[in-house]
Amino acid sequence: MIIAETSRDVRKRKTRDKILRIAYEQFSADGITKTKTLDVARQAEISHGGLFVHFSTREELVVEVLKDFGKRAWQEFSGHNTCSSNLRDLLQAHLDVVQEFEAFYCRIAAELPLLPKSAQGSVFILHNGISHHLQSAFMTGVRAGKYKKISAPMFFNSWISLLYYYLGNKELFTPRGSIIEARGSELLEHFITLIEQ
Amino acid sequence: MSAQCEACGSCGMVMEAPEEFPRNNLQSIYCVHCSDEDGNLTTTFDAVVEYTAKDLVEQQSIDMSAALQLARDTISLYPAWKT
Repeated sequence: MIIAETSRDVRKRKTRDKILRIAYEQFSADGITKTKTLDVARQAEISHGGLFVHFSTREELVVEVLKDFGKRAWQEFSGHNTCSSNLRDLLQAHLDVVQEFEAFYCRIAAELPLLPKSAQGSVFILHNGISHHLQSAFMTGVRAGKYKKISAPMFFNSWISLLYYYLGNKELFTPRGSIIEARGSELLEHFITLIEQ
Repeated sequence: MSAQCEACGSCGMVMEAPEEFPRNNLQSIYCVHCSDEDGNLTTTFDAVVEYTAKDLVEQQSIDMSAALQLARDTISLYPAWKT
């Protein structure tokens, strides 16, 4: 199905994109649950009611920001050699993506249980895309006797748990600068040690 | 001018490779799994929810009823299913 855009549609899309960008920045800076739609609207230079022309509820705005973020994170991840069967390379690619969007990832890690189910779903669906690649490389290593026989979901959940623990408590581990830059290699090496035979 | 959608309006799959679009048409708003050759939506809301929930269970060991709720709440906000 092809949809032709009128100039009005283009203006509407640009405003919507602007709201998404500003909401993403404010969620990253102040937290997803703490950011007020009124502040997003002010920053976007539209009325509070105008924001709800584009997103009918606050929940919808959060989900759309997460979807947009997921799309960009996925494109970044798939820009790496994701067909590689080298698990270390894939985990490093994942760390690179997290570092690229680190401030937002820290908010997700800290606030995920507090978000509406629809927003949680967006995050877990993004995880699924990444886990397909990581698990494929992991299971190849299991069959070759390189890695322990851990179930594929347990393997992926262990990696995410480790990563999100550090991201969610970034202020404690790395108050200044990037936690992935400071601790990423250590996390990766530790995780590989845990799963290796 | 046409709008190019980079994520399927039905299942949310990010569409990058031409073969992920029906007839390699990069202007399609639905992925090849959710539409026919002309880009018309052919799947149902329940089918997308079930497929996504099953994937969540297999990949992340999420409880099936929780996965169904996550999938239902998230996918109901996608363009094809938004009411």
